[in-house]
Amino acid sequence: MARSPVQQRDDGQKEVVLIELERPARVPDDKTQDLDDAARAAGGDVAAFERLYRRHSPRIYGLCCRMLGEPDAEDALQDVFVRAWRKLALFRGDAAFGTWLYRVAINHLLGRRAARASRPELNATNAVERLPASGPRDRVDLRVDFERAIRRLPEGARAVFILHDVEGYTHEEIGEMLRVKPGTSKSQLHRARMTLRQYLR
Amino acid sequence: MTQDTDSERSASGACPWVSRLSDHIDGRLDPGTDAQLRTHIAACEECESTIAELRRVVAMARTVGPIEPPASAWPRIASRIRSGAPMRPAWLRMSMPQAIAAGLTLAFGSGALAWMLATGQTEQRLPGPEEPTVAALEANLASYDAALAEIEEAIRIQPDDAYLRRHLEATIEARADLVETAARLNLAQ
Repeated sequence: MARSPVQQRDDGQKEVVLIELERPARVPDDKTQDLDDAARAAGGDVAAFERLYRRHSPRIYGLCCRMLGEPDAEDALQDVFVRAWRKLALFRGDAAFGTWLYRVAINHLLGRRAARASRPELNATNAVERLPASGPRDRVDLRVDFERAIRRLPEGARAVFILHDVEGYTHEEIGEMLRVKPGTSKSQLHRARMTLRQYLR
Repeated sequence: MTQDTDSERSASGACPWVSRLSDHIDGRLDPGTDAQLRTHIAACEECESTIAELRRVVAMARTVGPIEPPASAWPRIASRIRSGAPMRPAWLRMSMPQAIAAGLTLAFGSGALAWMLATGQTEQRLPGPEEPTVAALEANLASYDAALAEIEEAIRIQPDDAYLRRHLEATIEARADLVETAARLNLAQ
């Protein structure tokens, strides 16, 4: 049975503890099956590609939702998998398929994010919206509030927070991906964390 | 709270050490600064409570999980890959003046190198991580950055131009692909 991340301390305060097994980046790939299906899909086998989709789409969709918000997430998910299908010939198996696919997704989402940032009508998240943060909440409420709070972060801080704290990239890697200095990535991360802490009070 | 801390407070009233707390959590402070901060935290209630809250945020981020996509997603993907429909054809249909204005020729040049690297064609032509390879990568990254600056400037002037937005998206993605390919090439050597 899954252990709740919200623990009651001796002083009665709630705290959130790390549950390693739930970290998505550590969900193991079925690497042999992936390699076999990727080879079949590269040869045009759509059924093999669907198996890859079934195994990997929840992680990619989670990333899409957090980076772009749900209205654009399904469209982005489709683009990522269509793009992956077309690039399968370039997948040589020197990394896990999940890792390769994830990079395809990140690259695509960063492109979308940059294009969207140029559209003021879709970039209305500069102000941080407050959510109810007080009162008792159960684990599900806490998690839902936290997810909503992530999606309300300003664009830059949201991307850095997701890439660093959720996905485990370094500031140097993030700096290269977002075309910013590592110092900017660090300050954006701190800004994001300072904003999000209010939702866990 | 120490007297020193009070005297260091910014105009907003926040303790100046608060801005260093994330670096402390992530172990990125040098040992001397980290020791100073630890001493400070012991005497500063604001930093003590803030750091506890930041640790909860970091822990919560690690519990964020996958999300099951809508059932409608796969049939649409299957339809698109079976029909061979292009994902993003519009920017390929840009007129030459638009393309030149947006630095498309640079993107194509860099894209060609990225394709060569990705398909291993350079492995026969280049002996390894030699200077010409590195120089070519750096030159192409610089080309992408210059192209992106041009596109961003063009978008600033014509913010409603859908072609430019799609081109920006494609160029960002192509640049990221080049960086990824270069990293893979480097690891393979």
